[in-house]
Amino acid sequence: MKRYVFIRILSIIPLWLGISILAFVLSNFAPGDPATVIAHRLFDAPPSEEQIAAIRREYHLDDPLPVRYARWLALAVQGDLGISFRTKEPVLKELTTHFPATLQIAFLALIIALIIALPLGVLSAVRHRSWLDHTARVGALIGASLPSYWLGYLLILLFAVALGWLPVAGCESATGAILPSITLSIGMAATLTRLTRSSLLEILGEDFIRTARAKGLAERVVICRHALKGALIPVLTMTGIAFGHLLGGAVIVEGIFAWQGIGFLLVNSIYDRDYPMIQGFVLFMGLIFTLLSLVVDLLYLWLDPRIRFAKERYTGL
Amino acid sequence: MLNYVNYQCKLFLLLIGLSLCLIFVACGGNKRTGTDTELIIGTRADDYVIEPLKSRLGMYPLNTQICESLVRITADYGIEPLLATRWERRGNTWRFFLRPGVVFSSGQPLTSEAVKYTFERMVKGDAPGVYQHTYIGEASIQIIDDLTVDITPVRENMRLLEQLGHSNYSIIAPGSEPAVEPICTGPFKLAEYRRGEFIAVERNESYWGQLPALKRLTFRFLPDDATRVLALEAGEVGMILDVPREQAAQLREQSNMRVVEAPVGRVATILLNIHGQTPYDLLANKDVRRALAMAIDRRALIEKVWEGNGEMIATIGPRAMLGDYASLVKGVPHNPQQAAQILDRAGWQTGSDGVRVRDGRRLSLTLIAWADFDKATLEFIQAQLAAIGMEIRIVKSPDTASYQARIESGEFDLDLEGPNQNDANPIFLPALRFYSKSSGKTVRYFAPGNLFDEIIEAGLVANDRDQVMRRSAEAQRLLVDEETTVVPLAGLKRIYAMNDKIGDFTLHPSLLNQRWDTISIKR
Repeated sequence: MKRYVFIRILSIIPLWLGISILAFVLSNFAPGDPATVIAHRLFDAPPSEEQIAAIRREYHLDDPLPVRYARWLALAVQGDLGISFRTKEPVLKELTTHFPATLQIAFLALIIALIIALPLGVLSAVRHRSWLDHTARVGALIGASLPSYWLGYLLILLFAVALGWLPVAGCESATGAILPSITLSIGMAATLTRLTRSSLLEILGEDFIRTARAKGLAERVVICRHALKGALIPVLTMTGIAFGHLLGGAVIVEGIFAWQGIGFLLVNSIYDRDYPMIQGFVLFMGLIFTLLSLVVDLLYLWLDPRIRFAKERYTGL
Repeated sequence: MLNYVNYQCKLFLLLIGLSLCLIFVACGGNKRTGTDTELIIGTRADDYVIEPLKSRLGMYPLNTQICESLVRITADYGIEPLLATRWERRGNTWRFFLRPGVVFSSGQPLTSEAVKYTFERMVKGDAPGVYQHTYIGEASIQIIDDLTVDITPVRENMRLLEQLGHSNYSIIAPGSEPAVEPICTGPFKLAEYRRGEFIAVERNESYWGQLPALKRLTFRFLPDDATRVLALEAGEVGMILDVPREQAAQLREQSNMRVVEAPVGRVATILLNIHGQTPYDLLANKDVRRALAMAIDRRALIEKVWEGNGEMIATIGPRAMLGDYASLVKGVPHNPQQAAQILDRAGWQTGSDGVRVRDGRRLSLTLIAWADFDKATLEFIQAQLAAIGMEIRIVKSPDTASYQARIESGEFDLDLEGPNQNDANPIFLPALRFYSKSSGKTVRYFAPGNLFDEIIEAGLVANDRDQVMRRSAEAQRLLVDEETTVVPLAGLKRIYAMNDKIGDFTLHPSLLNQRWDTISIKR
């Protein structure tokens, strides 16, 4: 078991190296010159060749790509992701400053999604083909189809403009996280509801469930203790992936709600061709994703003994 | 069994509790609301540069009136005294007489030392040696006495006075660094700045002029256009800048809202690549350029696509920049029939798919545009040109960097731009975009040639502002009427919306020169 975890952690290293190469190459091959963008931001007129050349020298953009990559990687392994072209602040500081804001709405969205999806998915499966099941399925379909920007505006119109209960945008207010979190959570809740329902339906058809019922166990116990535990495994996988996406992909929602999260930071960095920030972001999110995936894998072992035993056989323990 | 169910209920309640906790773990601070002495203004994204020697926090690109320049640009693009009460020029040397009794928000008096410090910092922060456009160099500033200072650009620059009204040339206190805190003489002083969220300024009680009516102004950065409008409707902000055209009409219908348009401060223009390499060389032909200019119905563009938010204009900048000489530029009249005849005469025959062909080559042009021009505008131009047999391929760049890469590569025929006129130099725009010796990287695609250069050079060295206006008008006549290397589409007006309690808001065509100190709020 310990060996499996150790190997799993070791396998992250080549993965990060691959991510770092991809991040570096992709950002550097995007059309647009960061020196020109910086020069345009500084002056209210098209910059001269001289000004652009001076900026290029200052940011070492004249150096060959492999040299720049080697320099960046050497610093990155020491925890230094460079200095942002745009803000002149250390990239790691910028990422850690903006990340909590994203984490806040992503985690809140996750909780809201789970609160909606788990009971609804379970009820939908238990009351299979009832009006409740049909309603939940239609609701999930609508929820999954709603574009987040449209839903965001709709929620603002209702809760901020019409009712005046919540702020339109920004994180100055204590309740500012509610609307972006709900916006993010709806699509996720829809997916998880459908997954919980289908997964539970599949489990409910298994022999061990029939045995449990034959033993005279109450339906609640059959569902909660025996069926749900197995049905939650794909839900858990999807939750891990979706949470990772929320952390890295709340770009549109953060833009609508002027939420100073990491997605907002990424968009501005892409517009400004802020290479260190883009590279740092990709590496940082790569780290988050791989860690989340590790946590999900470990949770599997805890949830399903069959997986644990299979791993132990596979790793020779 | 019961224990297991209870455990699940507890977990469920824990999730709800955790989510409530998260709601209240916000980014900090309480919701701010405007009062009768405080106004919150919703504006676009925060684009301040926070970098020593280069920072213009509070000055550019959003001028919050923390700082002031030596002179001010009036709404008709004239020059009026601000920190300098008067000025005189001897050859290439400009002497400025500073306003006595002015103090910085730190309490330091305004002296010539501040002017020297400001410009020397600026030169250090730019490419070594000379500050672009003004030609102010390291040794350009000479202190004559406490309140008199000479500025001698390293190259002859007769336009310096008109350039210095730009907020980039705001005077800062000696020893201060705007990247840390802008210490200036303006009617407001910095109260708080949170990058990406807001910049708040408060009344500078030691201001030399009339004190602003408002005690505090907060500019909230709301990059999304629709969110800005919704924030106004919800009462979270009292005023918004850059109202999207399509939402202006909706706001006008609300009884408690006021929507106002500033005079034209920028012109949407199509620049024609006349020196492109194959396949971007079709516009080297004057007949094609002329036909293209005639084919676009600019009035229809303003009325149907922009819902009336625009103004017919023949010049490439605001008419006010040219005074009476603006009438020298006539513009190309809309006449699609004549446009078609010109192309027929030039040998462009309509092909089976409606696109003209000559010597086996299709009349196909590539259109690029600044990111702020919407798809509807581009498609309108495409449709208008298709009517005379021109095929337009729209290349919509996702961001400014991609656009810049494209234009610098020369891979385009038509370039739709809308530059702002932010200083009072009448010849700035034609010189910047079309003068072959301009420092701009893309001028090589647009420069019409020697005759144009001669007019610009005469304008650049002209002593008299009236002469500069005339030269600029002549240069624009050459560009628009004679050579047709530019097609001005329409004058663009910046749209502001505010609640009906806001008064005394005096509009300026240039946002950079917009005054906030005159605003009052009715009780």
